[in-house]
Amino acid sequence: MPYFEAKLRVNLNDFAEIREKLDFCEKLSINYIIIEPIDYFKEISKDVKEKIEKLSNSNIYYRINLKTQNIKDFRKKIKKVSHVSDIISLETFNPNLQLIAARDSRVDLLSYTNFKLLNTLSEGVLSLANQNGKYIEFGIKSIMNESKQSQSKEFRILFKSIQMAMSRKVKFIISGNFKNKYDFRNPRALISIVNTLIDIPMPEVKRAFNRNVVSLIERSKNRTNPDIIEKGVKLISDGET
Amino acid sequence: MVRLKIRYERQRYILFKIIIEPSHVFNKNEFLNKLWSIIWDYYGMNTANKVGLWIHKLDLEHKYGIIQCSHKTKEIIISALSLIKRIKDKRVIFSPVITSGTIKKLKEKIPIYING
Repeated sequence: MPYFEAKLRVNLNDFAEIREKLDFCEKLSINYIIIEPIDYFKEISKDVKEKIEKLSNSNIYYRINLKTQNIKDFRKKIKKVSHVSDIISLETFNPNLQLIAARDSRVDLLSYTNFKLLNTLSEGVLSLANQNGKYIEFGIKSIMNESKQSQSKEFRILFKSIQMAMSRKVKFIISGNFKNKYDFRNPRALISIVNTLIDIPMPEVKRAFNRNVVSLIERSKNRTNPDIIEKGVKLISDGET
Repeated sequence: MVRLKIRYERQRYILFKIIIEPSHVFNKNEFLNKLWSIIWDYYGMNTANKVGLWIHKLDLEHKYGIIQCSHKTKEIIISALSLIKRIKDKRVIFSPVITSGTIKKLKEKIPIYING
């Protein structure tokens, strides 16, 4: 099963930069990438997707990351993207909004990719995420932090949060979320880092980089599938098995 | 006479790609020092004395290298290679490509993963 880089942030207005990043990913043998447009809260058009896919031989998927601290604003933004087949994630510091999003069927993923966000992760969110089949995203950008002191603090909180998610049996994914291209690493190398430095068991880490990401992509695709009535219920036509 | 039976430790050979800034050059010693300092910084002496590190090849022209280590510390070496960010204040990436139990098998795969 392939390993994914689940968060590659790009500027959709700068195709030269996208090409550069995708070329670098190819050099590092990162073949499965989920692209996240920066500050883009609407559907990504087919033309743009085709243009991006022409730039690289990698398998590219998309996600829309809603960044907001306001419940009203969240409702407004999610209305615009609720019909898309890309992954919809939410990044917020507001604990009430996190709880609302964990219950909202349109949100696929709750993102906690930095140190400050991780501090806001609560047991309540994890419990709701488990009940509603949501995914939680952790980021390991901190491995590139130059300061050893803040790096160890970040590792500690990351360890605590992942352990909490594992004990609540919440499905989680881990992404690199690196900005600089020289910080990019192959997901297989990131698996080793998480396993050895943050002490998460190998099968769990591998699941966070492959199986959970695949099921997250399937979940987002099923949103637009008219044959799927609700979770686990699918209309089957005559002759179909 | 009592004969001691020594069980040899299994080895792993790791092939890695080197990605460097244009016109950046470093030698085997600088790479080795950096790798050891990462192992010491992140994993400590307890792990450092178990790794059995050996550099088989460091080819800057074709941008790849082969490293030998104990099979128990394979993941640590892969992590340490990935955690190297700079050599001589310039950005580098050592990206592990494939691991093998024998050097012969690994060398057969170089054309596929490095040149191909």
